[in-house]
Parts: sequence; C-alpha cells; structure tokens
Amino acid sequence: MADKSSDRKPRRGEDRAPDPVAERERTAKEAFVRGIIERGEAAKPDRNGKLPPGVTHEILEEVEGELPKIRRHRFSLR
Amino acid sequence: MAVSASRRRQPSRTSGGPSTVGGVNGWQDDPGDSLPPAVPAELRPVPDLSIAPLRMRIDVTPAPAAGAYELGTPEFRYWSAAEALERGATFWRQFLPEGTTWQPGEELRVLLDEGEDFNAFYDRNALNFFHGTAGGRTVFSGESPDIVCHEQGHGVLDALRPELFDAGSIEAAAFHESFADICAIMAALQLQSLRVAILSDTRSDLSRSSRLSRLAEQLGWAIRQVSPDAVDADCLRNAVNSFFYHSPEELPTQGPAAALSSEPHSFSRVFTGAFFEALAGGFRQTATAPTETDLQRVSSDFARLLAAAVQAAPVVPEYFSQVAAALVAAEASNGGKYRNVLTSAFVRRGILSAHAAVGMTAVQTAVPLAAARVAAAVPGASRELPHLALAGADYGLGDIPLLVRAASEPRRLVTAAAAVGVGSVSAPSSERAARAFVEDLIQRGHIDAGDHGEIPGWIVHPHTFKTHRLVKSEGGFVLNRILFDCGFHPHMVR
Repeated sequence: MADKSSDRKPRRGEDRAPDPVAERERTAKEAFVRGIIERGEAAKPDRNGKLPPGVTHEILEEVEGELPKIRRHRFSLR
Repeated sequence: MAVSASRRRQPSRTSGGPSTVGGVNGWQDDPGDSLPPAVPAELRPVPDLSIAPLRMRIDVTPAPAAGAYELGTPEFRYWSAAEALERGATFWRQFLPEGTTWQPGEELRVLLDEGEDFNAFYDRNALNFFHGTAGGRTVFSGESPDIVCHEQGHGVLDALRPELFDAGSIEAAAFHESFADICAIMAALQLQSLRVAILSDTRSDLSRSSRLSRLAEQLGWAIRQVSPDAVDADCLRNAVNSFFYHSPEELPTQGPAAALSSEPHSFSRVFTGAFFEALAGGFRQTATAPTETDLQRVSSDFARLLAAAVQAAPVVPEYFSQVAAALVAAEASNGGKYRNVLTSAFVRRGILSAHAAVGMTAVQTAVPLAAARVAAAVPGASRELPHLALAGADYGLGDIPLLVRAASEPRRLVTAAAAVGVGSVSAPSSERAARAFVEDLIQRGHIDAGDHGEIPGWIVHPHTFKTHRLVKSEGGFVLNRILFDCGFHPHMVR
C-alpha cells in the first residue's frame, strides 16, 4: 500500500531541516538525564515523600522506551 | 542537631568571667584531616544570622548561648557553622541586586545533623548536613566552613539564577557545583588569618595547591577510608587542577576522582580550575609584592564579576563558555584590568576556544576582522618543512597571515588516534594539524608576541612559559620555536 502520508502537503513545522540549536539542547538534556539515571541519582519518594540519601532527583513519570521525566529536589555535596 | 543535656558543655571562657560573650570558636576553612588539627580553631566575633537579605537560621532549639566551646561538642559545631554562614552571607550580600532573597523565602534554614551520611545538600528548603564514621573517627559535614559555605553557595546562586536549579544540562548542573566551591574559597578569603597563612604557605603564589584550593580535607579523608578513588588524595576536590574542557556529552557519566567525567561535581572542576587560575593571576598582577589586603580586594573584584556574569549568561547547554564570555565582557566594562588573566585561564582550559576569545577581543576593541590572505610560503632551507599560511584573523593578527611549519611530509604509516566513543579520529590534513598545533600553543599561552605584544586581538597570557615567538617577516608573522620545554617552572603556569 502506498504511503499516502508522503503525498500530503507538509504541515507547518514538518519536513524542515532540524534546528541545530534545538537538536543540541535535546542531546544535552538526554545526556543529563541519562547520567542521573545511570548514577542512581533519581528515585521515587518513599511513603513519607522523602528521597533516599544521595538521590538528587525525583522520578515524576516513566514511559517504556523513554528516559523518565525527573525533577531536581536538591544539590548534594558530592 | 540534637543538643542533649548530658553533652552540653559550658563555654571554655569560664572562670567566673563576665556574662558578655567574648566570641565563638571557628575553623578557618576546615577541621582538616590530622589529629590534633594542624590549624587550631580561632576566636571570632559572635555572628549574627538575622541580617537581611540572606537571613539564616540554624534549626536548633534552644540555640546554645554564644561562647567559645570545646572542640567536638554540638555547641562548638553550632557556632563554627554560624560563623562560617555569616561570613559567606556578609560577603555575597554586597554583590546581589536589590530585592534578592533566598528561593525558599526571606530566611534559609540550616539543619546541622540530619543523620548518617558523608554528605550535605541544599534543597530549596534548607541546608542539610550529616555525620559519618570512618577510620575510627566521626566527622560532621556541618562543622567544615568549606562545606557550609559550599552549600550556602548553592543557595546564593539559586537566589541569583533560579532557572539553573532544574536546568536539564550537565554544564548548568556542574556550574552550580563550581559556583558553590568558589563560594567556599571566597568565604575563606574573607578571613585575614587565612589570607596571611595562605600567602606564607604558597610563598604568595596562589596557583599552588593549598588549604585555600583544597575543599573539605576532613570529609575527603573520611570518604577516602571507604572509597579510596572517589575523592582527591588530600581533599574532596581541589581548585588547583589541570582538567581541560571536553564536551560532557562525550565523557563517561562517572569515574574516579583522578579522571574527568560528566558527573557534575567531577565536571565542575574544569570551571573551578580556570576561575582559580584567573584569581591567582589577578592577585599576582596587583603589585610587585602583593599583600593579604590585595588578596581580599581581588577576591571581591572576582566575586562581583562572577555575580554579574551569572546574571548575564544565557542558560544554554554550553553554559561554561557563556559564563566565561560574560565574565570577560563584565570585566571589559569594568576597566579590563583582569581581562588577560581571565581570557588566558579560560582559553588554557578550553572553556573558551581561541577563536571565540579572539572574536570577543576583536569585538571589544572594535578591530575589523579582515578576510584572511593566503600568502605564499616563505622559502626555507632544504631540510626544513615548508611554511603553511594560516588565516591571521583567526588568531587576532588581522589580515596578516600566520606562517607555521606544516607537518606535510608523505605518510609512511597509516595510523589514527582513538576517538571518544566509537571508531577512530581521521588523520588530519596538514593545515588542520597546524591549526590544532597553533591553537594548542595559544590555549596554553606558550607564544611570545615579543615586540608585537600590542596586536589588538592577541590573547596575552601574562604568566605562562613561552616556547615560541612571533617574528614579523615580509610574508606575515612566522611562528618560531624558542626552546623545548621539559621542566617544571614553579613560578609559571604550565
């Protein structure tokens, strides 16, 4: 079956060359989140709403196949 | 902090003295890792944390009466922390725009002992400190002025630039850590006794590793007992380091303290190192024999510039370079006396590329960058490599080419360096290799402009060892090597 989506007119914002600045920001943000996850610095709060020691970010939302959404709670010394 | 009745101590100024308090005991920068402490606690004026802006409150009820308590007591730790907090707040208050407050509100709480951990943190609610035991010793992070002022520094930056708190950027997070470490250094420099001691210990060469550059020696020692490679060999982190900028996205996400990783504390050392190098250079150039008073003045100058820069720099992924550029720009509008040491330090660390720094200098001095002229190679002796003409504008030489000996002999071996990540680096062309070589020399400040030192766009590194010299010829500026540098130069930055 022919891919009709290729026949239609590009919508606003589609088929444009990727914005290098936005791409750079997206890559930087992904690297930031990936580092936090890999170092175990993100967690869900416990029943009292507290984060474990050493954790700086709360995991807000997890979607399969994607990096979780996180929010900073603290800056730690090390 | 739980101040139990059984452990409560009386101030050591006992013997039926007057009820007026003579002062409190406090450390200069850190308790240190030796027992007994190499630098004893000192008597200081009773601190007042109630002054706004940057009002603070240590969450202990009741607060111990002011006094010079014995070491190791909760009361000592309370007043040692209070003294450090006041010192930091008094220092930064003068550089904040009117109306600045802590992010949590008018008052920032301080929790001196929140349980067991070798750590401390700032969370927009309070400054939190802990205790931990290792090697038979219990250390309290809230007892160290370095650590107290580091955490306070997070609060100060959060007050100045709240956008950074949750910025999804490695460099923004790392800058937060760097700013906090710089706050610890700046707070320490507000103590005359420490300034005198540091100038004596370093023979007035601040670029040497010292108690000033070493952050949190005691906690670093404790962490080293349980995790030897997690911290520096003599402290938690050291502002005198040789880390060079590398895109953090290409670095491992963690690693030993000896290596650079994208972990924010690790990566922060690049900026802290550059800033400290500039501070040392700024101090060095104040006078032939600068004094501790000069050091205090330079610390204020640099803090004022940094406060201005963090407000001006946009929060973008390449945040280090943005802050560095804003620092240089702030300094340019402030008379420019530190321009060379700032530019030199940031270029030498790779935070500012040589091109970027040249561009900034050119813009500031309003020198038009003419299109590069490709000049013919200067004839040389038969055994010498040919000259390659590089665009002088890239190095601040305007339309005069820079003539460099090009490594352009035929390759006999096919080889390449390993790339970060996967694959290998393509063998560079002669021109690319020459450009990389020149940029490296410029970054490290190894080129002597000689009699041509007034070239408008040239990046002057006032305190670096020179291995090459610019010599004017008919075809342009020729880059000539003076010597091969194999040694350690104690009074130079390498």
